[in-house]
Amino acid sequence: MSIKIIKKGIADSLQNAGHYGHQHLGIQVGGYMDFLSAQLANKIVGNSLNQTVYEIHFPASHFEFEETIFISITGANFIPVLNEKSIPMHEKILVNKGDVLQFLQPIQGRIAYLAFSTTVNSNQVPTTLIEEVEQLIFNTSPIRFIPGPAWNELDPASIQQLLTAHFHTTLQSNRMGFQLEGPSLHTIAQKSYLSAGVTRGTMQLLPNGQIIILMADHQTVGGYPNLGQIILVDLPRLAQILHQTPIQFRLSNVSSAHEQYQFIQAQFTS
Amino acid sequence: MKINEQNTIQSWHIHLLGDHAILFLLDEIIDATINAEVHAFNQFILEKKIIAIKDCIPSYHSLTIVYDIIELHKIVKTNLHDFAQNLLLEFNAYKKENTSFKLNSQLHKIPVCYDLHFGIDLEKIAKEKNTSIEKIIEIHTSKIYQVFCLGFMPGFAYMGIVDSTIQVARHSKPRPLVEAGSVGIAGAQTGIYPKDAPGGWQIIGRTPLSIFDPIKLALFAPGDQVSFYAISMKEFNDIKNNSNNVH
Repeated sequence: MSIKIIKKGIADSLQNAGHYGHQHLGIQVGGYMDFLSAQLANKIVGNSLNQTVYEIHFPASHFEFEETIFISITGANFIPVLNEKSIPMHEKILVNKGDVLQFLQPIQGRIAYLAFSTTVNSNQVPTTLIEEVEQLIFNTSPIRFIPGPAWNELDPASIQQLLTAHFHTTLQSNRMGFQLEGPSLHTIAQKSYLSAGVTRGTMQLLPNGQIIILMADHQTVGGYPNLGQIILVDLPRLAQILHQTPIQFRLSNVSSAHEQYQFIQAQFTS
Repeated sequence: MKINEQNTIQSWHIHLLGDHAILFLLDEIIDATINAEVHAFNQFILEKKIIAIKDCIPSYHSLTIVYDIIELHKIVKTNLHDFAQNLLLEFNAYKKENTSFKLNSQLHKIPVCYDLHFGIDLEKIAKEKNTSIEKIIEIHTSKIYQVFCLGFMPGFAYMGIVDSTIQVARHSKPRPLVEAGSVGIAGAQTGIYPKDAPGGWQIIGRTPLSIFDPIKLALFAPGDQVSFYAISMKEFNDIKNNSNNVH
């Protein structure tokens, strides 16, 4: 199956579910920033959920298809057009040799996903699942996290601020991590930590009192105070948040986070 | 959470790290015995081949296991904390029953050229420590170091413990470029840069060996033992030019 990139976008890449099993060698996992949109794109074209997809930022690449295939587009809405004609998102679309896909303008979100397949027969994806994913990646309620090992090291005023204040992502945000700007947070005592394993979604407190949230390409170990980790179902929403959009945080817990993850995954696999 | 049992020198703390990882922590110090306990626990978990566990990441004093939520719920019927605690209990019981339990650990002998052309911080360290460059080389090559963990970049091994007489702080401002193979020291630690990278460690030499390769991956594994021996610039070039690098 071949797709030609006739004009390269600023930060487009091919991504899959990530490579686990090598973090003990310092090798990052990588993979989709927004796994919900990526899985949805795959499901729509009849792929297995964790297939490789294009992860697209704006300004996006221009794609030319070199054979007849099916595609689907999910995640951020950049107004996709095929041969300069508007095409819907969240639908399985047949494209022919020579067709050109472009994205005109960012309307909502930060990352779009393009899945492709030659599978003719695939089940219709329920509208409820599409709505469920849209709701998870674009709602504006606080981002949920579970307190980490250094949570209790924060002074009470900083805890209060983390749970009430508005933060936003800065331009120092990429696939490795999102650096936030907000009120400066402080620990009770100046304590240095030995590096320990971190995960995607880990909220580290930098020496300047600001938070960095680790994303898909994060390092395997880190030595900054670990304040908490964003729950998995909220990471796609964080990945889709635009610079300067206010973010708030709310406490969650493991059992509730697991229930929500299991609920959405059950819909994907049904 | 502490598990204090006889015959266990260490007490572990358990933290659920968000919704898809568990952090097991020992005391917050760089210590070969504590770190060996981490590697033993890591090995024990790996040998159990639990499908739900996607990654095990050892550090100086901790082990982080990353799990798949769906797979884990197939095997964990109680709460997650009990599951984590049971792993520790099983590990302790296993160690008691298997007194011959041994770490899978490889010894690597790494050639290092300490020529000033590579060891760009040697003169400064000698001055700071009021010693000679020869003495620094002698001390650095006299020890067998333990690979505490890997991190920072693929294949970068944090090793120790460096003799206190040559311990120096890292540069306050990292160099924008440290060349691949550079051997550095920082506090109690020594390490080799697998590829060109910015870095703040004090550079004392360079190895001609390839430390990380995208196909063969990392030369060192956590828990391995490493010693260094000095080579001349000629030997450095000979090894470098010989494409059959030991790896």
